[in-house]
Amino acid sequence: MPQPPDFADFVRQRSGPMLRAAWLLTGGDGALAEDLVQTALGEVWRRWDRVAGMDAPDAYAHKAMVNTCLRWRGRRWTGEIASAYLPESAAAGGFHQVEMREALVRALRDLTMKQRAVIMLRYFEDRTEAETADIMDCSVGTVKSQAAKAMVKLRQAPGLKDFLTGETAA
Amino acid sequence: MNTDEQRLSQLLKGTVPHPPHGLSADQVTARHVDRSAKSWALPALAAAAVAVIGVTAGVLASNHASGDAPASPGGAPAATASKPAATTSGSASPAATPTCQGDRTVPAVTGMTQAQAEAVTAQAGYLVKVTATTAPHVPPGTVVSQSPAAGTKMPAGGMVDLKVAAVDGTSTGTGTAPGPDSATQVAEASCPTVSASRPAQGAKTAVPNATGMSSAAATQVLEAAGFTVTVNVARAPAGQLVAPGTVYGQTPAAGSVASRGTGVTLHVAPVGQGS
Repeated sequence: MPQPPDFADFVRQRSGPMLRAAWLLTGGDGALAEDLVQTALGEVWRRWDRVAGMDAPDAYAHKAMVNTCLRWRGRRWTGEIASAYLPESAAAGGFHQVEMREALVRALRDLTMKQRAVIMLRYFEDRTEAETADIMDCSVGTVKSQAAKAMVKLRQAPGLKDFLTGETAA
Repeated sequence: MNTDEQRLSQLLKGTVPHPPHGLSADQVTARHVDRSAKSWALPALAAAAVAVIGVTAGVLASNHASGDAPASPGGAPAATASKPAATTSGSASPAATPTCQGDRTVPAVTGMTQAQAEAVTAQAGYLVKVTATTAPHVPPGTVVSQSPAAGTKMPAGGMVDLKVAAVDGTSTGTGTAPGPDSATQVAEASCPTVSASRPAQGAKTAVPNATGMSSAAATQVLEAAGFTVTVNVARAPAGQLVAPGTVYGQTPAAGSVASRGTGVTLHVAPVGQGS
């Protein structure tokens, strides 16, 4: 049996991917995303003795993050003062990527929290409908219907419409 | 997967920004400690309220009784319980009067400045060990994490490890802090059973180790041991990771035997300027 991973190593390895996923969940809010990941990892830390022995501690962390975010839905965030932002790394992607990112953020903010969660799990992390349903504690039917509703909205979103329907070469 | 779903997937993976840095376990646990501190503050307040009610009830009861009747048993214990149990010499400051017996609760000091944290921890009856660490986003001199966590029950005189953000804010993570020989030092809590009888002037004694303490705490400890203290604020030698306001050296050295009343010079890192 492998050694249970150290919590510090776990945070080091997983916080990057979790921050990216959280960026989607929060509709492109870097500071809130960091908050979300910290809260989720705090949950993991409280139960680390148990979580470390799991087959997939990262799945547990992800579940904690998505569920925290779903609980936050409709709740005004009043806790932390933002201390760090994800910078707009325009240099890395060029103009087109920045433009697409802005369009994506606007479109994500039009979705419900649940729809964002489905989009993130299904299309960003390539999870199956069954896995997505398990993480979100809902039925596969809900995953399908939420994904379909989200796709309808995204297809109509200005800036994304052309790309998703393939009308212009991207 | 439909074409538009594939396109969306491609878009998400290419567009979601990569964070400039990951999180550290210290950040996560520090936050958690902060929260647990809040969660036990409420019961503490409730206990205080009960005590106040007890005293009030006692006073009311004794007012109702005739003038020469003995005081109500309800009031007296509550009143005596609120008195500090320590009966020490006047040398210790009011902040440092731990009773040094039995289990106590480790206070929450994460987020405080090092000096505050040392004072609070010492007041609670514990020894303090300070380690300089590098922590992004944290003002230098701030306590980043503590061990054991706030709320833990531990006998008085136990050691509380504090990690303090260093001046030298390199972003290479906590692993790069120098070993225990330079930055990690033991600060001595001012336990009244130790400092109760101030020794006579002129007797020889070992100089306590003040390295790693805030200059205020170090001064207190050395004066309690009978030395006179001079603070020399100067930048630490290059390459030494020192939290601002912290003692990084002392003359004479810790452990050397000197007469009481001897002057001890503390070398303290300046506050408010990077290295």
